[in-house]
Amino acid sequence: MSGLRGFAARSKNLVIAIPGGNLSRDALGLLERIGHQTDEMVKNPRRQLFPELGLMTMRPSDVITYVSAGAADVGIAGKDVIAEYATDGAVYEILDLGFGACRMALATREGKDNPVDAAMTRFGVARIGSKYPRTARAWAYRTGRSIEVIELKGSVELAPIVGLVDGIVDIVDTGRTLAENGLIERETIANSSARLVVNPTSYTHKGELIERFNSAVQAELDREGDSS
Amino acid sequence: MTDEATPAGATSGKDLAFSTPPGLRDMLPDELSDVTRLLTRFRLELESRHYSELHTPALEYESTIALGGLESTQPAFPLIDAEGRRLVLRPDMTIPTARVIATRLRHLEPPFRLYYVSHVYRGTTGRIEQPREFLQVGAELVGLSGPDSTLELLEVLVAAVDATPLVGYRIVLGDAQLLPAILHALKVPRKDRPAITHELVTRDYVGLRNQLDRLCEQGSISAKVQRIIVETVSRRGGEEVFDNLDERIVAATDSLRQIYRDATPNVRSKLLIDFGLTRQLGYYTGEVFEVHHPALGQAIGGGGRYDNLLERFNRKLPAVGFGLQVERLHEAARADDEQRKATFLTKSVT
Repeated sequence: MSGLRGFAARSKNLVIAIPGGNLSRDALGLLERIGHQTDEMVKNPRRQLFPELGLMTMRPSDVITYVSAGAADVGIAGKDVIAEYATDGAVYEILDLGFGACRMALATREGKDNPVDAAMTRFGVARIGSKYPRTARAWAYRTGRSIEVIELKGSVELAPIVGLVDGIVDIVDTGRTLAENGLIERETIANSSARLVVNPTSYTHKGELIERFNSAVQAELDREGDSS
Repeated sequence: MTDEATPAGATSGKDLAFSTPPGLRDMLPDELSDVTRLLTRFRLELESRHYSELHTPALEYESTIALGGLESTQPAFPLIDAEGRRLVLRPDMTIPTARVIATRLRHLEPPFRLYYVSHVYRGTTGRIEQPREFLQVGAELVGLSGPDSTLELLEVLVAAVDATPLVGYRIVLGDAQLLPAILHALKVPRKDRPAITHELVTRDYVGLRNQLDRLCEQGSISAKVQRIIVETVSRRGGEEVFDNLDERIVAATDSLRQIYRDATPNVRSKLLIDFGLTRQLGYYTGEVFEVHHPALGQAIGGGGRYDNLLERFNRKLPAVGFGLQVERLHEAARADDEQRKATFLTKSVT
């Protein structure tokens, strides 16, 4: 069916989608500091819905799906995930939350020559492994490269080592995982950090709640910025 | 068993025969009788306002639809006929209506007041699979320019929706020309404007602030100009959004102000002004709007001014129109109905 939204529609309160994984702690910490109850969620890592707290949690890349369908009113998601999964305008991206900073980068095996350039020169095309095929294609288009994307779900670092691909497009945090696998970053593609995203219908019908939440978060970020 | 002609998920050709292709579905009698009732009310309301129904073929030349922009309308089913001509199933009704006015109705004087009840066909992108065929109702007012005609169309929209059992919906109203006009008035370098506008079209306020930060650092714009732009396009609400605007950009908000001021109390009660709303479709040139209902997560429909589209069919006429997805309208109306029942039950108990 078209556009059923479920839980958030039946709740008078704001329903917030929290990404599991790396961003989870920072996201919950931020909510805690603006006075939002999160104890139950921290104590029950396996539960996914906390109706009394107006919180739900899911895989980071699913946050966009829940918010764009309106099952949650607002959500917290990395820019990397938004760029990969959100269709233009499906969610409104209203605030940079600062935490979860990382970058999308092209990495290859170490060595003087860049294997991606070498493949481009020799075959006119480079094979790129990635969990972010759309991002990889957009980067190739922008930089005038021809690539074949091999979509991977995990352990992306393995692919260039065993020669499955010439390079990978992936998230780099400190670069340690790359180094341990004999890879180096060749090119930064985009910078990422956690963002606050909003469902357009919720922004219309729960606009005041969302504005209040947005202002509280903004004030908290400003306060932290001043004190650091 | 694998069969190249069998789509993923179907295990054999036999199963396939009893299914419908993705994004397409049957409409069964229960639903259809509800929907027909909605449509009867819609038609009566539109006819009483002297709008006439228009039918156009489901298939159009691809080159016709391309005049409205193929990228934004996403035709789902490109076809090649026996003569090798490229056809598409129409992705919207606005472009065919423009074609009809510029060709079949060329001998008639404007204005034209037309409405339609038609299936349209779109591709789906992203992770949420959407219908590829859906029923749309809408109206087009062609040949009148300016905020007055936008307001007439909004009044028709509200009357048509109010004729259905739907309550509790809001119309978000913006102007696709507002940001370009603001950038012009504040003398933002011309070459930097498309990137800024793109951020707002995709509703990426973080990207918008980042673009402006960059221009600020380069010295292309002042911190004050940056603040004015961000603050203005973030404004949403009622009458108060027009207060305390920088004097250079007041004129850019004139048409929205006029519409809001002249709207009947009923229409105004539905309006939410949003200075950041631009919508995605390539052909919008001025005021744009979306209809949102709290039971659904996505807009029921929307519309706007498209003053340059008819010109592409060699008949220069200003125009404004709206379209609503009937299935979503029906879903929202049912949600309202359940809410009413729930409220009634609660009341009768207490």
